[in-house]
This record gives sequence, structure tokens and C-alpha cells, in this order.
Amino acid sequence: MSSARSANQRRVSNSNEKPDPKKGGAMTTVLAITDGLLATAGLLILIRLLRGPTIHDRLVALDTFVTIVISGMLVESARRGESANIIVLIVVALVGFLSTLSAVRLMPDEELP
Amino acid sequence: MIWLSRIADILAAGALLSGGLLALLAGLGLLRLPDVATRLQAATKPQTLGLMLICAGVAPFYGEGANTVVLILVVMFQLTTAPIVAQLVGRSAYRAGHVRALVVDEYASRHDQPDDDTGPNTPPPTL
Repeated sequence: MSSARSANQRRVSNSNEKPDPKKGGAMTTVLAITDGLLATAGLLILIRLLRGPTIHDRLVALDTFVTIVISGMLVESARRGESANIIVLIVVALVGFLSTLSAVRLMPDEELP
Repeated sequence: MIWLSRIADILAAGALLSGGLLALLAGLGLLRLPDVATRLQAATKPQTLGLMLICAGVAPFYGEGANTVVLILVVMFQLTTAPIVAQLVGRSAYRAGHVRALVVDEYASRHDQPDDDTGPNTPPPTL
């Protein structure tokens, strides 16, 4: 059922120099492209985080950046083929949500720029 | 059976690339749009749908078992919390006066002007 893992096992088991010339290479390329897209999105979000004129812009940028980090961790663990730190994703999502929520709730209404 | 796994690979690749493109779209919208409300609108929807697509694309790499449950949990958590964060940030930005270009402002007529002749229980204005 798990096609990518079976491709990896096939690569490990029988041939060592040319793993699976169509599928393994294609999925590795797709994962690399996704990583590049996520990295570009994170860079743009960091520019907004540094530049943002109001504190609400920075909050939106931070909350989006947490999601980009979660996606990047998912893709990166899929590239390495290990799934040990997948529980950390729930912790990161929870901490990001709570931090944004508390920052919004504890902010005064008018005075901040 | 090999064509089935190939179809699964193609679907996973499409989901991964769509998720990455949605994340890039969120970054571009967050950088280019002019207002807090529009940036919030540009950031929230790719945040949810992009994470959902990336979880769906990554799920075949993890195989069967409890990891898929964790992926579903992450998606459910994001689906639950993203509207809360967006609504609270939008309300706080409105109260701070950073949202100006509104066509219909129901919030002002209901809460911020208690002595207005349109009281708190009037129906919202027709679009």
C-alpha cells in the first residue's frame, strides 16, 4: 500500500547504484520542489514579519509561519524516511495557536501602532 | 498492483506540489496585499488547505498505522484553530483602527456607537 516506502526498500534491497529510475527519482524531485516552494513562502513571510507596519501584520505572519514550519517538517521527514518526530507537529501547532491567541487577547485595543 | 501504486504516487505528487504552491501563494499575498484584513484573508485559507494537501501528499511515505492518525489530528487541529485566530486577529485589528476600507460596517453600528439611532437590535443593512 505504501508505495514510496516500498520503492525505498526496493532501492535498498537489490540494486545499489540505480535505485528505481522513474519513481524514486520523481518522488525525490517532487519533495525537493515542495521544499523549495515552502522555503520561498517562509522567506516572503519573514520579510512581512520584519517589515509589517502594525503588530497585527506581524501576528498574521507569525501564525502563517508556524504552518509553513509544520509543512516543512512533514516534507523533510518524508524525505529522510523517518517518522519518529511526527508527534512534535502537534506540539508545534498547539504552541503556535496558543501564542497567537494569547498575544491577541492580551493586546490593548488602541494604543499600539 | 503496480499501476495502483503509480496512481497513488501521482496523486501524492500533485497534492504535495499544490500544497507548496498554496504556501507560496500565502507568502505572496501576505507580502503584496495592502491591509491587515486582506493579508489575513490571503494567509488563512492557504494555511488550512495547503497543510491539508501536504499532509495528504506525505501520508503514503509514512505507511500504515498510528502516523496517519497523527496527520489527521494535525489537520483537524488546524481546521479548528485557524478560524479562531483569524477572527480574533481581525477583531483586534478593527478595534485598533487598522481596518478602514469597509463597504458595510456592521460591527460599528452594533457595538462601537451605543447612542446611534440604529440600536443594537436592528437588522443588518441589506447588501
